Amino acid sequence: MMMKYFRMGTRHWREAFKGIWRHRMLAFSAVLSVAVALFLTSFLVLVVLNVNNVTSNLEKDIKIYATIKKDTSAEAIDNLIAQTRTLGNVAEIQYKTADQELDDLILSYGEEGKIFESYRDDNPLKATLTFTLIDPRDAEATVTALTAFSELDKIQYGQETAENILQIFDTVQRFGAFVVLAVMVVAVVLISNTIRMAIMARRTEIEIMRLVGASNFFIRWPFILEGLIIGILGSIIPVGLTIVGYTQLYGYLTNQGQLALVRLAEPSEILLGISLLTIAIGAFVGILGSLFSMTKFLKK
Amino acid sequence: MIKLSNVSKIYKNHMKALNDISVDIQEGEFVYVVGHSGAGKSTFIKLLYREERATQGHVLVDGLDLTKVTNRRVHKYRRTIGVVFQDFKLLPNLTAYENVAYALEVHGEDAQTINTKVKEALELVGLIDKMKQFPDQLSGGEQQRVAIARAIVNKPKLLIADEPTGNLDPVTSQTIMEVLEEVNKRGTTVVMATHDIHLVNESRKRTLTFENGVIINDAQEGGYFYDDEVL
Repeated sequence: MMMKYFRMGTRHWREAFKGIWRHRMLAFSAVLSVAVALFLTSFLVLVVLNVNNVTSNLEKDIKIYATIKKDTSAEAIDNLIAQTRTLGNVAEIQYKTADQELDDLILSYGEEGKIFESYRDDNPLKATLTFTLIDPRDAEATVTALTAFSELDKIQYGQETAENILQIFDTVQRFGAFVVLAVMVVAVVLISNTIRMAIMARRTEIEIMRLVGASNFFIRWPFILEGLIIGILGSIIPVGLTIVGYTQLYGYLTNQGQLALVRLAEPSEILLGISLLTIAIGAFVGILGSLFSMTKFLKK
Repeated sequence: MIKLSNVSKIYKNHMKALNDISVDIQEGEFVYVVGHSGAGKSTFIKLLYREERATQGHVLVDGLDLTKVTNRRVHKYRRTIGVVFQDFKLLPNLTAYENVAYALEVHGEDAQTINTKVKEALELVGLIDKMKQFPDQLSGGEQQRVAIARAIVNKPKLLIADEPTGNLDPVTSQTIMEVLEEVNKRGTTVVMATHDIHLVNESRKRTLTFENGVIINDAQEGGYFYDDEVL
């Protein structure tokens, strides 16, 4: 029994490759179409992944800054830190005295900052607390909770900028997902057409297969495998291009030192996953395309 | 072997192809099916290899009710019968041997069994010497003999032939008849639809004559029922 299945399996693969070879131009165009569709897909997935990467970096950067009213005693500040630490969303609190704030200001202006030295005796700056959050999405609730503390003066976080950027990224992700979906549908239709042509070209053979008692599965397997092979062949090109292209881009940006602005995800972190995903999508799209054609043309 | 009871067939376009026919064919019989074009003989043949399903009544072949065989299961039935057509239905890119072997390959037979059975079938139809030739290198009669070899390679109990001599000249038709008679002699029931009045009259066998979807004559001793010679 095992031998029989093995023999039939070998035959199905042989027939699938033969079928592709017999209609090689058609198969070639299908492979190219799938390659283009999958290249677009993997490009978009890369963009989405990197947008996620940048978004999560940005979210990590969301911190709440609060100034402490002048004349607050050291004991009151200690109390304040202790109490705010108990707020649910606070991961870390950094306290800076007014003098440290002035130091930072002077440092940030470099040589020209020295003119602020004159404020050393009568420092107009206030001591600050910087809150790093566990979940930056709940920043607003934490800000509301902090307003209850009378020792705090001004509480702020880059909410508008952060929200705007997050919203843009969210839109990019949604749009990306939509385009990926549309491109996938196109790829399925293309493969489906190729398999349909293959079925049409072999309809006499299929008719004879039926007459001599071939089961539906037996008739369908070579076409399913044909779709699978086209899908996988079509995914190899974009996988190669993506690996080479992304690694080059990452290397270029690293050398340019622009990583602070656009922090791309490490190639080693995402390329294996994205390659496997592309091949899996190729295989899936290939099989799906075959199944569509077969449901339509091999009804009996 | 074959039992049709009150069988009617109405196609989707409401055309009634068969109207309440009943007939019994015994194992080992050789039966001609004749009639004008559109008389119902093709539908009758199609019911026998379960290409079509009866709208009413029952079609039993070797005890199996074909009206209850689903499309998914029909291949199991087809493995027990052989079918031959007017247009041979051979695969042009396969040799005579490969065309016959094809019927066994789809069942998953091993190479050795295939080799033995195919050679046996080609021997029976007298084409063992031409087994490596492709269909376009064979004459019409030889192609039909390959088709018969493919139909009988599984040693079916029933061979259905739909106008097997329709594309052949009288001399070649005679050789095809000889092959079919040989198959019949070896125990296979043969049901053959034909327009060929000379064949029917020359080799007297039971003849079912169809007209307007009914069997108007069942001549056990054979012979053409119509007076006219043009059908």
